Amino acid sequence: MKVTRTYTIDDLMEGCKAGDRKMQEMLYKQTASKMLAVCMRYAKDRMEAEDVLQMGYIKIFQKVKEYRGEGSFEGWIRRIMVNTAIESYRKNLRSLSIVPIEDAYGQPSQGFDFSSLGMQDLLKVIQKLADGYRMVFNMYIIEGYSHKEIAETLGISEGASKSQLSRARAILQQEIIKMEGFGYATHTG
Amino acid sequence: MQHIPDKEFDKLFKDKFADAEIEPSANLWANIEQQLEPKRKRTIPIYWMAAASVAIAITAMLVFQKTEKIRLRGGEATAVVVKPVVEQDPIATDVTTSTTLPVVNQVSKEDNVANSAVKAPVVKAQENTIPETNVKNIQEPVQPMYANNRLPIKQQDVKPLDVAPIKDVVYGDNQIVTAVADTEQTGVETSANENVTERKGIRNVGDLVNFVVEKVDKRDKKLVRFNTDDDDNSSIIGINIGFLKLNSKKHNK
Repeated sequence: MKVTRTYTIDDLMEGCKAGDRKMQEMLYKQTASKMLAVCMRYAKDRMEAEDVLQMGYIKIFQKVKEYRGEGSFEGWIRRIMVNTAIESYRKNLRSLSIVPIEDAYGQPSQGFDFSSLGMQDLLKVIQKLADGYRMVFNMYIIEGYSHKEIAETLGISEGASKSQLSRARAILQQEIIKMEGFGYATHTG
Repeated sequence: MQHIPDKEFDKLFKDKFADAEIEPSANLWANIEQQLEPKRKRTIPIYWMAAASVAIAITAMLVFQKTEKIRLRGGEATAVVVKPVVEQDPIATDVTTSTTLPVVNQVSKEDNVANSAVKAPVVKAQENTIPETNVKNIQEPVQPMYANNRLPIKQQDVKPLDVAPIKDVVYGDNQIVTAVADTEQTGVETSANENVTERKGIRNVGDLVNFVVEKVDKRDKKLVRFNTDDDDNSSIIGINIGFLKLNSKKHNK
């Protein structure tokens, strides 16, 4: 419908502040696919991600009145979504699942063919990470949290945050090489 | 072992996810909507019911105007339709359209007047307007033009009914105007009902509908009638849309 396009995201924000169900729906339609991509990075699978997405939007509609216009509205939405994802992780905190590190150093790594990697591929390897690694990796690299913030949010030490990040990187690199295994071989061979 | 520089590696991820979009399942919004605080339940239904009441009222008005016209055009014989009032009410006879033919209502028993306190003041008020000397001929002052000019048959129909009450009536002051009082009977009752409604206030949808219908529908059996109580429950107890009449006996007083 064309009507949808005549609303800017700020119009929608005002509508949501007024509790207008139609505007809430439009805001959802306009932002949900981006937000699901965020949730997917933090979740183990799509089901978990959609659960988080749902919780996130409910929180957004409940809290939208508190939005004071600092930063973009979409940025605010994203922040709520990330917080919801982290919260959900902390709630279901599984018993420390630490992936054996030696896996990360098994194979030589000689670089990636970046262009061949799609977002979906990267998502797959991220989702394979142990929960703690995935949190730190997402928060630090994509969301741009500092190690201090991560440490406070997740209730770990800064050192732990740093070491988990480097392990996460190592595992991801290894996984990507595995995934690209065939292409990599033809390049070198 | 050659590692890709961390910065480059990080940037790869950051860029790839910067504008990433994944379409959520189609039913997800429905789930969210369901979990969102439901809109205050009362607001919408009340507006709805108010609108519905107005619609009912307008329909009722249209319907009545129509029947009126039909009656006027129709033969004289059809003009007077005397039918019993609500079953439990012994008062007697009532004309379908009492507003236009105030004359035709007659009492069969004089004690009705004595019993009903509500009617008493009205009766007295009417006393002044109708001299007692006229009592015997009470019918004439009450229904002169209609009876003589246009509805001769009606007069005949009515007279035999009146014989008894009129004779009895002559003796008591309060009862004298019985016949007159009862011509106004429907009117009195209506206003009595209105008072009741106002006293109770409009507490729920049922009351609202009753109130609106009462304002518009002056018949004994309302277009729609709800039974209401303090627990906010309304149940329909009476319907009268001409061809269809429904009255729950246990709710009739």
